[in-house]
Amino acid sequence: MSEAGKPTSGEAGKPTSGEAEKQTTGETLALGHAFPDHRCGVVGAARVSAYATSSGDDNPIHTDEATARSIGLDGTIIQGMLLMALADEALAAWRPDSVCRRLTARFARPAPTGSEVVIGGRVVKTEAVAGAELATLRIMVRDGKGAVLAMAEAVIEN
Amino acid sequence: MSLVGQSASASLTVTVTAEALAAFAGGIGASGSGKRRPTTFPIAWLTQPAVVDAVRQMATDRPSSLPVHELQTIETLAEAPLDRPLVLTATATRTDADRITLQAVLAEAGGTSLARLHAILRLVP
Repeated sequence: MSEAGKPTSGEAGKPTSGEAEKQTTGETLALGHAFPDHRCGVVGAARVSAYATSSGDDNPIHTDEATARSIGLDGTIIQGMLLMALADEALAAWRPDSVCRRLTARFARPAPTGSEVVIGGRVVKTEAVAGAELATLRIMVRDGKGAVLAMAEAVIEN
Repeated sequence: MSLVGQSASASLTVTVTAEALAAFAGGIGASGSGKRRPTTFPIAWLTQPAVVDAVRQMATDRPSSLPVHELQTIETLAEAPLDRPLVLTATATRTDADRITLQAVLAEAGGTSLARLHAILRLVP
C-alpha cells in the first residue's frame, strides 16, 4: 500500500488488488459508498499491443505513431476498450463476487500510450430489482495527474 | 449521396471458449483468478471483419478517416454458454456527418438474447 486504503501500482503496469478493496466483499453497498482508487499502473506500448492482439482492437492509432499523428494526435493512444476493461477489472478486484450487468464508458480525451491509469468512483444509486440488489456506480478513469480520460457507469449486482 | 440515416448489418457465428476468455483476460493484464469473466469480452467481436466491413460501408465518403470510440456500452443479460455457437448481429448506422452508431446483440441460436452492445464511433479526421 502506498497510502491508506489504496493499492499500489503493480510491476510492469500490472494492476494490484489492495487490502481495502477486498474488505468490501459481501458488504452491502449503500448510496455514496466509495469505490476506492485502483491504480492500474502505467499502460505502455507492450500492454496496448497485448490488448490489440487479444481483442483484435488493432486500429493503427493505438500501435502506429505515424498513423496516430496523421489524424492529429500527438502519438499513439491507449484503446478506449482497454480503459473500459481496466475499469471492469478494477471493479472485479474490489467486488470479486459481484456481477457487472451493465457497463458504459464515454471517452473524454485521448489517453496517450504510457499514461498511468487510476480508476475510482462512488455508488450513486441502489435498488432492488426482481430480488437482486443492484448498485449503480459513477466511475472516473483518470491519468496519474488526475485528468479525466473517461467517465464510466456500472450497474453491478451485489 | 449522403450516408446519413443509412445502415449496414452483419451477422456472424461466434463461440465463447475458456481459451479465448483467458487470452482476453491476459491481454488486459487481469490477475486471471477465473472467478469472474471480463465483462467487456464480447466487445472484441466488434473487430470481426464482417462488423468492421459494415462500419466501413458507412464511411465510404470519408475514406481516409478512422473510427474512434466516443462511447461504448455493454449490457449483460445472461452469461454466454461456453463452446456453443452463438449469433452476433450488428448494425452500423451513420447518424450524422461525423458519427456512426453500432448496435449489436449476442444471442443463443434459439434467439434468447445474452448481451447488448452499443457504440458511438466518431470519424477522424
